[in-house]
Amino acid sequence: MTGYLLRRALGFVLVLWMVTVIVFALQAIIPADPARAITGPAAPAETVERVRGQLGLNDPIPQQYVRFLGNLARGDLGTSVRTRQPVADDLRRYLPATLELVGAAMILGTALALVLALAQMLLARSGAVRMTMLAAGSVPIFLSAMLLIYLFWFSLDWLPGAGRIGIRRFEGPTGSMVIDGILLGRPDVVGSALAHLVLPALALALPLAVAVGRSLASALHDVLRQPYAETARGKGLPEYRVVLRHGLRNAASPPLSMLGLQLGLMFGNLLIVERTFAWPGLGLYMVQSLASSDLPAVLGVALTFGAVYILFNMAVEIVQTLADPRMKL
Amino acid sequence: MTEPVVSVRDLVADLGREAEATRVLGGVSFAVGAGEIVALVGESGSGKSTIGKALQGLLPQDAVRHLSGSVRIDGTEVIGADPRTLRDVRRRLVRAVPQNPMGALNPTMTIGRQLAESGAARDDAETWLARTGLPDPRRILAAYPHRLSGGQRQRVMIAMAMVARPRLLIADEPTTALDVTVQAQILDLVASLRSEGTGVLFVTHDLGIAAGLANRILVCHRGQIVEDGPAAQVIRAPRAAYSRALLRARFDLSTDRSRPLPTAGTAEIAPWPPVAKGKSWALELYRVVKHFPAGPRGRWGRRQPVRVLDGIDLRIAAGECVALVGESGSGKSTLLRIAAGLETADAGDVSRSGSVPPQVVFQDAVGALTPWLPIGAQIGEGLPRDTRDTCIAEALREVGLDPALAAALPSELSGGQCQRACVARALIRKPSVLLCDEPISAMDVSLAAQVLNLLNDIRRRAGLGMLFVTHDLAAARLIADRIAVLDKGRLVEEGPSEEVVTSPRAAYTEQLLAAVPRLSREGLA
Amino acid sequence: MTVARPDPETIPARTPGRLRRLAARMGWLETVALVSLGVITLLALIAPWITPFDPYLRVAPAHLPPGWPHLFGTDDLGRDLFSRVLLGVTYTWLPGLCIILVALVVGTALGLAAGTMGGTADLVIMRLVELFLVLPSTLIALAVVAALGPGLVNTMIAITIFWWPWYTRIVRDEVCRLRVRPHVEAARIGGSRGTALVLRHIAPGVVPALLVTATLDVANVIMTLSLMSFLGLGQPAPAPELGAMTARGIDSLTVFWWLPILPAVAIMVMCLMANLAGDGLRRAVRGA
Repeated sequence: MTGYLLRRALGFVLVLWMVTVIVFALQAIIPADPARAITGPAAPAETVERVRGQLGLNDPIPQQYVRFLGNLARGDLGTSVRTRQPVADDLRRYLPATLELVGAAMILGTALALVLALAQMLLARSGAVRMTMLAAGSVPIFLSAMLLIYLFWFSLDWLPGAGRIGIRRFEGPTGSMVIDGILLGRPDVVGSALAHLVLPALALALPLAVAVGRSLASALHDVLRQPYAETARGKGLPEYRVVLRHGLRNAASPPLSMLGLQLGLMFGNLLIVERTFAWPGLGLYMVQSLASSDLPAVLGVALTFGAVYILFNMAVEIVQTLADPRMKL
Repeated sequence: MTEPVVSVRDLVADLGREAEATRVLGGVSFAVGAGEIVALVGESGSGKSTIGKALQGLLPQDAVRHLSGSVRIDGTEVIGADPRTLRDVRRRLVRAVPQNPMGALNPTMTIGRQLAESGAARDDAETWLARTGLPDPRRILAAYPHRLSGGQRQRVMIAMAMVARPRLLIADEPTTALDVTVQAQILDLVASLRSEGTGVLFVTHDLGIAAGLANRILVCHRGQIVEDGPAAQVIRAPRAAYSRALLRARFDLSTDRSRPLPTAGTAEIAPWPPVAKGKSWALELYRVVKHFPAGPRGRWGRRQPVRVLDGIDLRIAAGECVALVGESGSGKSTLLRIAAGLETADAGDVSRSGSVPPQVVFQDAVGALTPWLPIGAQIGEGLPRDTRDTCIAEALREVGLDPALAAALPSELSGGQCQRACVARALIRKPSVLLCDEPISAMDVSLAAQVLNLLNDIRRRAGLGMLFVTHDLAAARLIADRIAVLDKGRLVEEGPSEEVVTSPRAAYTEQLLAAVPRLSREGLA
Repeated sequence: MTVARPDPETIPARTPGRLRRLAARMGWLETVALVSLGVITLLALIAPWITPFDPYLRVAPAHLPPGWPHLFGTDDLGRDLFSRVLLGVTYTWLPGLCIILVALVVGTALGLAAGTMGGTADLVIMRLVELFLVLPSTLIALAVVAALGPGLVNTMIAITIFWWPWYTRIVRDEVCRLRVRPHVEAARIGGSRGTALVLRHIAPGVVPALLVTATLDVANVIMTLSLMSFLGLGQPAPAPELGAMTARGIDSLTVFWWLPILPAVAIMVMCLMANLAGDGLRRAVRGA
């Protein structure tokens, strides 16, 4: 047990280290000279060379990498070219909004996936559910985002289509508006924040729900053909109990892996959703950084998301292993 | 006969997907009384398992094209009943024991919870687990299925069925997936259920098992019950031609081994001609040792090695057949794989005569053929191009197949045809040793008899050395000159076939012999 | 000979038309989708010659709504949107196919190598694959393009780098599953060795799983490509990339809805066809 967790932790550190190597390598191979970026295009060659020296760009690569790791350990991710702020500060500012959105999308997506999969298993006309999932899985994220905005904001005006909150100058301790509103006892804040959250979270949750739902439906389909499902039916259990008690638990592993995988794809979608809904989070920050070729900011976001993603997937794997009584650790 | 708990009248079922429906049951009628054990005997595809499923109302809904007739269980009509009634019937009246207990228990649920789901109070569950002969029921209730052996799981399945005190218990080949010695224990357990007043419908392909266990025997053939009578009478004087054929094809420890087994369409059978045994050894195994990493995991996930073969000495002369008998896990398949060169021994020596490596006939004949290549191409693989086609045709004729089948894909052949093709592929290379890995264990009696005859004939004519690996002592005695018994990686007995069967020296051999079902146990004597 | 043998058994009737049976198992909708993949490829190949208007030139007033002769209306520079979307299909579909093909070739070769050679080669290749698979691929591909500079070729390279490991894993898993199957052992005993054994008795068995995944992946790759293009990492303007066209039109969604919606719908249609075809193939292969 302890040995197993130790091995997993070691694997996590190893992968994280690989991400730092990739990020460092990307910094090292960029065609644009960071020194030139700082000094401006008009600066004389000597000035650029002096800045190069100050930045340590003339040192051997291994030395540069060690310094890069040291900076990273101190939480120093460099300075954003666009905002002129330390990247770490920017990340801290925008992370809560993104976590709120991603969290909501994960919960919503998992719930939707469960509904879709059970609908396909238990409804008589399962072909229709399958087709719906196929079609929904083919909609590019910007199309679903646009359609949501057009319908629920522009046409019906039921929900807000941009931003995080309709109340000015609200600050809370956690940075998540919904949680802060609850903590500070402000129902108006909670209401407004939730209303703003619905559409972007839904847009983000849809691809997740379809992917996880299809994976779960397929796993359930296989599990319910196993002899032990037949045993359960032979005991006179109704079909829904067979699905819930014998099916779900045994079919949980593939969709859980899919959930972890989808988190990685969600980061790409996050950029588009935050851009479309003007959600002031890391995704929007990254979109703006990409537009202005702000490499330190882009790599900082990539590193943060990478760590979250790897951590989440390791957690999924550990849960899967511990949940299986057949595993001898 | 007592008042029947189940009466089946004119049961007709068409099964199949979309347009391609076939009549699986064509008007089946029978009854099972309380406390009576009725054996339903038939070969694969006879519809016997479908009867069991229909009684439970568990035929796959999307495959049922037509279902009519009447099945009354304790006064409740099952055919055409609504789902709620069917569930009630399954919960209270009819329970089933599966063919293979390995997958029949939910791996992520404790035995206790699965028993509770079956409607058992905790005390009841414990009582029944103890009644089925399981040691320490309390521990088993808390355990997950993977901790139990196959035999233990089957006991749990029986307990799980019986806690509901059903009127009818359907046991569909409950012993075929188990080791022979365990089989006998499970059969005794089923026989003891008679005292509970539960009617038992015992589905099996083996007349011997049926004769030893049942009060009455039903013989099922092509969706019809062709014979229905008291067990002793069916065995002694079967009325239907099909039952007679089934009885004739059956072999056990007292079958005449001096001549080929009688199969359909043969009247007079001449004895086997004497075989000229070669002086040289075709295959020699000397102190073969093999380990597998199968034990518990160590700290860094390495498994401890377990010794599966512990110094095996075995020699086979040219033209001689040696049967290697053992249960699953005895190491018999590993020994065959080492002889075939598919595995290497950790210690010891394997030597053989001739330049052609030993050829193998596998248990899973269909699986042993590459699905996407025509039969002929597989048989003739690696042969010189100019004579290939004639060689293939000859080899196919040799094993009793039409040479035109060379162009067919394995999926277009029956299981028996596939096994013949595999034999042809082995023979065409002219090996000095043929290794047979349970080649008949997955087959129906009549087919098994044919394949056994074919193998016996071929090794006699070609003067092959043959290693025949099996768990079935009756088959071993028929085909082999000598029998070697393997138990937990050691040879516990070796000697001429008849001698091993009539006067075994090892206790383990006696155990194996006692487990072989015989027709003479009841009725015939 | 004394042995009683049954008469040689006759040849079973061969069911004609394997393709028709496949179509029957897939369902008609999925079969149509599979055919449409070919049609789209053809369309993408000839699009530059069949656009009704020059996709790069002003041909009408700006912001014309869909109608005749401008089926999809015109954009903010008065260019024909239908011609631009048609050419956009070329810019999305062909790179998508290229990525899949390269990833398939690389992935299959490495997967076959890992699965059949075993030992150190297997260990090294699979560790590399695992590493790629645990990394957040979209994100790092984004970072790679950001570092290399935007452009279609850079985008394709970045995506391909993270795509091949999937195929390696599928092929390797399938090979390992097949390698221990009796038919491969039987072929080995029969004297088949090395490359011949792999190509005749193992590799064909990998094709179904690979074909299904690759077909479904056409949709995934197109999604990723258009996502990159939406973020401005594809070809620079005026190239008619569907993602970029959507991104430019998105701020005028409520005024000129056709500008962002129609290019996005074109992406959706391509993905839907690939998904339908892939799902149909998957069901036909599984026999469900």
